[in-house]
Amino acid sequence: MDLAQARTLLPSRLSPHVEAHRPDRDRAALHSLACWALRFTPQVAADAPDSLWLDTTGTERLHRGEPGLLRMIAAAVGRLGLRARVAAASNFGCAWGVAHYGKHDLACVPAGRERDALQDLPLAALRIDASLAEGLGEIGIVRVGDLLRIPRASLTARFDAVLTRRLQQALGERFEDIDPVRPLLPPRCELLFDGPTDRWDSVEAATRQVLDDLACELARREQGVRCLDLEFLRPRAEATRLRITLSRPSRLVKHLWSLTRSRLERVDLGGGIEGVVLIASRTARLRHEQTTSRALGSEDTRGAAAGWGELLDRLVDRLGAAHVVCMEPVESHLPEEAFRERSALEALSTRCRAAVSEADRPTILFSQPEPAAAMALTPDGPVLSLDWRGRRWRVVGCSAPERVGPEWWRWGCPGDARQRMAAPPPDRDYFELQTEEGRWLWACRQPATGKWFVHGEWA
Amino acid sequence: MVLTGANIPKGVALADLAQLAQFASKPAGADRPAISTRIDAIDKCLPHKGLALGVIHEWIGLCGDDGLSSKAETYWTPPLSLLLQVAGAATSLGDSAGSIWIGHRVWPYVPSLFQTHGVPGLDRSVFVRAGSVVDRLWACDLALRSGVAAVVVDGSGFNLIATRRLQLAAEAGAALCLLARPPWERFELSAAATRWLVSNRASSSMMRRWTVELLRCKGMQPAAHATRVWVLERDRATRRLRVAIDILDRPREETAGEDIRQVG
Repeated sequence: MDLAQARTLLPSRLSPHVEAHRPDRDRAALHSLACWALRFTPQVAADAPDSLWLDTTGTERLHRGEPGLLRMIAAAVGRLGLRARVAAASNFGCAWGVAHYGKHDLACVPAGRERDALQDLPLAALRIDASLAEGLGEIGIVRVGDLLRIPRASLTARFDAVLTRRLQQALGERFEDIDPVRPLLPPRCELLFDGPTDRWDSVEAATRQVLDDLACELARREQGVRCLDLEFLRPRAEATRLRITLSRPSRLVKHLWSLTRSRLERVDLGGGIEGVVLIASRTARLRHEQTTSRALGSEDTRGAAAGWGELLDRLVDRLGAAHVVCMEPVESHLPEEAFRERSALEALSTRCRAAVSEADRPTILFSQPEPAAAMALTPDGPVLSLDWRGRRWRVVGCSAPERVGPEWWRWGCPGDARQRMAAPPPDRDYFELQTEEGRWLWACRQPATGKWFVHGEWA
Repeated sequence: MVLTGANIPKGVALADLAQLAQFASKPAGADRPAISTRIDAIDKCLPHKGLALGVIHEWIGLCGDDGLSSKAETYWTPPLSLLLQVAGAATSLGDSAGSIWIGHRVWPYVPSLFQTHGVPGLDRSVFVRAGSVVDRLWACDLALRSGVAAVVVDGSGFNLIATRRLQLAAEAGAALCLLARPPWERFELSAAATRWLVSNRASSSMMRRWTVELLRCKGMQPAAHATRVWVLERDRATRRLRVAIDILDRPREETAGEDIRQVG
């Protein structure tokens, strides 16, 4: 379908989003997918436009046989949001044909059964040109099985040599090799001493020098480090490894050094150190910056963003990642579950967006609902006084209740057969209460038990 | 300040000297950029027409008044509605600057932060859990120097030296520094430029109301009739604080004073 045709199908008020086809970006994406697939086997090749070849010889044992491996690959690719057809065979040609033109999404061809597997597939399954397949179709050869019935010698004489080669490759009669991808190794710099040393200043100077080298290497690659691994090699002992995680990619020596130095002070130098290795095990693209001057009126927004990242890194370095957090809204009616803490080191863009309740919420939520006792003239009438925190509060204002129930998508409806084993939390009615002193409390009552709690406050 | 060859300490770089000279030559009441509190009546009274950047603003919080202990120093809450509004005004100015909330006590409940700051405000807010005075002071000093828009810190237990240190940091980074203190530290010495006392106020309507009193403000012109006490209420629709418009709740003298001022 071309663009003009697509436009005619759309309702008139909608304008289509048009994106140009970029084959180079397709290839780059396939290459990164191939690098990702290195987790299944060390030999992976990308076959443009849409295929990956995995040499799984020997690795199926790790996954309890080939079917298990295939299922795992399909599931892992599915988690990336892609749909894959996976086939395993004793040679690449047969696997390619079955994966592209076979009946099933997951297929496993046992060794020696290639001929049966390919029998009913169209000629395109042999990876031949469309023109060649068309020519063969004119003389009544449309399936691979038709081709297999013709004597091989006459095939070679009458058709292109490519056809015979592809047929032999698919049947496993001719060897075929692949060009495996080689992922770019992470930037690594090291400095080895002549002999072991336990002098802190030598180790410090060496680390500083290695860090300078690494920063140069990162600048050359136009990358910034997100995760920095330090290794201190020791004679006749396991190397000491430290890991520094950054919130934003950075290659600023001053900043990296301030993080490294504080870790370095805690390294045990007893027994001596033979060398220092720095590996930027996780990197991200960090463009070169045009030098600007504030005097010329340019806004230093990038500098501010970098300063923010450095601040987070230093806070995390001293206080720990669990103590420097961002908050993320969560889809939940329950007030104590309406948000989630997330480490400030994670990237900002990956955050999910949940709808936040529009209702008026207190500025403080107590970590635990605090038990209270309320007094009212009628069972469901306005509250007159509240016993809470060891004293009696006279209540002068009381709002209408707001019912907060458990989420139906988590706990199921009351009559639902698929209801979970655990009982859902009971319903709560939230009231806004004003005390005599003008303090506004957020109190709740459990209608099932009649118990009262104070859960928050407007301050 | 006079620096001659004799009294310049050795090893001082020229850049440091230039900075020192600049610092010394700056008049005390120099014009500073300021953040509007989004309450006009308060902005009008302040010398910079808002809360100045690069200085400390102290907020004395609300007392718990509970009967758990005979001592009053048990429970207090920072005036979070006000802090949320002012910090929101500071963060909405810059593109990338964020706010930092140091100390678990000043962490606002997330939906209320979301309702006042919106999505970008929540994305650019970082919450630091620091219990001890030393950790809070260190984190606040670091945050002030690194160019964030607003720093809200639980300042309980900060003494005069700590606030002086924060004052220097705030001056270096030109951030809005909001320091929340418990009610029993009301008379503690500090280097803060303004000190506010916030207390609950009962209202006959269903409005959340607070009384805000400006206890001290550096650089403010003393005037006999200048209002230093405001009654604020929270607008349910916009989720903002404004001067309470219901005059029924006010004492008679206050309204009378205002009428005279309008005439004069």
